[in-house]
Amino acid sequence: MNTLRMSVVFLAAMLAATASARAAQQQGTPTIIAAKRADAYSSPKTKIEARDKSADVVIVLRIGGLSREEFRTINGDDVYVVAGAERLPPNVLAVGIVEGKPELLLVVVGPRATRDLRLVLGSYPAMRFTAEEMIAAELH
Amino acid sequence: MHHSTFRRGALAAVMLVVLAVAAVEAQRRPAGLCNAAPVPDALAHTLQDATGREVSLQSFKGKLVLLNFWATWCVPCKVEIPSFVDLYARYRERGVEIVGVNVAEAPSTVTPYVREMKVNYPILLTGDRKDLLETFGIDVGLPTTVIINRDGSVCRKRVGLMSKELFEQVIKALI
Repeated sequence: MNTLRMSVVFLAAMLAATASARAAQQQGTPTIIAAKRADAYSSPKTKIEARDKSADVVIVLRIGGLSREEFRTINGDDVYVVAGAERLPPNVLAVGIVEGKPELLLVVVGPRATRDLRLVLGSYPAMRFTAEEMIAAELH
Repeated sequence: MHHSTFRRGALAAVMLVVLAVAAVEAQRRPAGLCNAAPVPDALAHTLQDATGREVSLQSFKGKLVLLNFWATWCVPCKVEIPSFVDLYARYRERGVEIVGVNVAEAPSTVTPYVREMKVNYPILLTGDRKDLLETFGIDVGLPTTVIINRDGSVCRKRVGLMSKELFEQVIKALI
């Protein structure tokens, strides 16, 4: 009887462990795929540029690492960049599929001098990042 | 003879009035408001809604149409939807039609989401069709909103999150 009970408990524990491992595998981690600085960002219908180019810079972020289901849980009002103590709201916020994976595109304008930046993405822990040196005057 | 002259004069007067109205309309629109490339036969598409019913975009002709391409996993789309709900409630009676076009998701995903977001405007689904996306050049990202004039011509296309205030400015300028 005791052996039977132990077997049932063991089986239940195994099933629970398998389910937990599967859930952990499915759980993605947000990743900053690219962070770049430029004087301007332009798409076919939008151009974002700093009003004062000596003081400000355009920062373009590509964020991935999450599934569509995980992106679905993020509140768009909670997506922004923090530069020092300053909150930088999105000038462009859009999603797309790149090589079959969902990505978020975020463009903000922030202080040129501040290199210590944090990305706030819903309830995920804020991510520190440093935007690459300007690689082009204008990013597309 | 007199009859013919009178008819020609009347025709010219009507044409002048039409031209004057068109000129006033054009002046009323802020410069640069309509910035989209022409899209031939923009409304010549039929899509299904979540119940499988066929809906022709032609049925919206004569109205100012905001065609919003979106998806349930699209973070900025979720921000825009409450704005559309409010704008639709306030402007529908004035000839504004907001149409949400879900991109490439199943009705079983779309229906509960639409219910949860309390969407009050028509939702259509692209399914796996690519023709509509090609027509409107939806290759960059979501949300994309295409604004179509009452005459069926495409006025404006915007990729990415757009504020309710900006949508309302555009609506007021075009209705």
